[in-house]
Amino acid sequence: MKRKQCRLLALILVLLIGILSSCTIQNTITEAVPSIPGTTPESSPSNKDAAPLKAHFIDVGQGDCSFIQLADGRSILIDGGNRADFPVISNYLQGQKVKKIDYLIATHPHEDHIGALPAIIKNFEIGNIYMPKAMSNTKIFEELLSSIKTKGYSINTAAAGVVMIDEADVKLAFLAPNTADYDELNNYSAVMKLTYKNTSFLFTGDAEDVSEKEMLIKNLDVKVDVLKVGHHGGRTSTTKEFLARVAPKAAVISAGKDNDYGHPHKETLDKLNAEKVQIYRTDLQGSIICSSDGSSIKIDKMPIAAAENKDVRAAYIGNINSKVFHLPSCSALPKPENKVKLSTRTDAQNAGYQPCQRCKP
Amino acid sequence: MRYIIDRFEGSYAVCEDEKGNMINIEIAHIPRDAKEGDVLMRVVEHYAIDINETQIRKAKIQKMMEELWKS
Repeated sequence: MKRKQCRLLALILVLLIGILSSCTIQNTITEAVPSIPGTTPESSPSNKDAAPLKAHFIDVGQGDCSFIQLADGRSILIDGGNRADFPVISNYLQGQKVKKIDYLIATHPHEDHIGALPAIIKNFEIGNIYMPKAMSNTKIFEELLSSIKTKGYSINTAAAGVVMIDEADVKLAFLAPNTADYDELNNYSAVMKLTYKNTSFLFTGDAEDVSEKEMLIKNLDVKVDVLKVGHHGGRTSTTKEFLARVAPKAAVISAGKDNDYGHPHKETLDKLNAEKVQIYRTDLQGSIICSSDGSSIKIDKMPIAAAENKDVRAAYIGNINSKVFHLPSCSALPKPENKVKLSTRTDAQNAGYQPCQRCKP
Repeated sequence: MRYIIDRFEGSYAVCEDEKGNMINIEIAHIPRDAKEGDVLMRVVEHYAIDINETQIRKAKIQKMMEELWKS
């Protein structure tokens, strides 16, 4: 008898945790569009119990890897983490019973985004591959090209205006890059918008202020429900103007716990908090799954409280004697007794601190 | 040992060594004009750009890209 009560209690507890630990974003704009018979692909389950679209933000530490399952079973992989992340990603995909990746997008050729892609291409069947026409000199990029060649695949150019999927319920299109020539690879990042009925997602790779500005100048429709925050929450992405136009209800940040670069930066978290955007972080919460039924999006974790987001490492470190401020990663940091934490650049300058010549904060 | 600059993050150049490992090199230790894709070689405590090796890799990868990209 006691055992039964125990089990019942455990069951109630499990149910309660389940209810409390997930979060729904209700789309208040419009009601769900009624499904029109004959417009859904044959392979999809019946309209009545259509599986939701699922966007998985896979925890690959300091890197990016997003995986999307469309309601009809087709799959999309955006980036492939670091070189060492292949077992993590492969296990995750196998757990989702993925055999074929219908759309593979490498947002830009940095190692923390393409690292495991050569092994993924070798081990999975791939449909269409999209990459911005950007070159890297690294071995990992060379390996990525070799793996594509070995399988006999070719590469489609990812650029603003290119549409990958254009169906009644699902649309997947690139909003960037908008130029063919940038100084740094981050701004070549393929930015894409995924729309499923009345819900939408924006995947931004490592696009920085330069690319964000171009999207705004071209007046592209960047407004979405869920924003995958650019460049791991780095301060050179997610400008105030861009965030205002995206106007997301939720934001997902993919970063590694206690990473060397201080991602996500405090400035980005402050901007998101100021706009009252719900924040989700792979560095604190592991992989994050968003499920969309076409009218609302359910997220499998609770948003990080604003107070918790504030409790990040200091963005800058000042020297109380020399009145110089540094990045936390600078090689010329002051002695512990002379250190002072400064949360923003403005705070540092208002307090009379000058930027360090070495780390150029 | 040579290192290829993959990217810059804050005060680091994130570089790929010959074994494919990623290492952080402080930008104070590399030439000021170093860019993504430059091949570095170690000179005492600092690094210099190996211009020749950088050009060889660029030409090789450029050729591979041309073969694989749909026009």
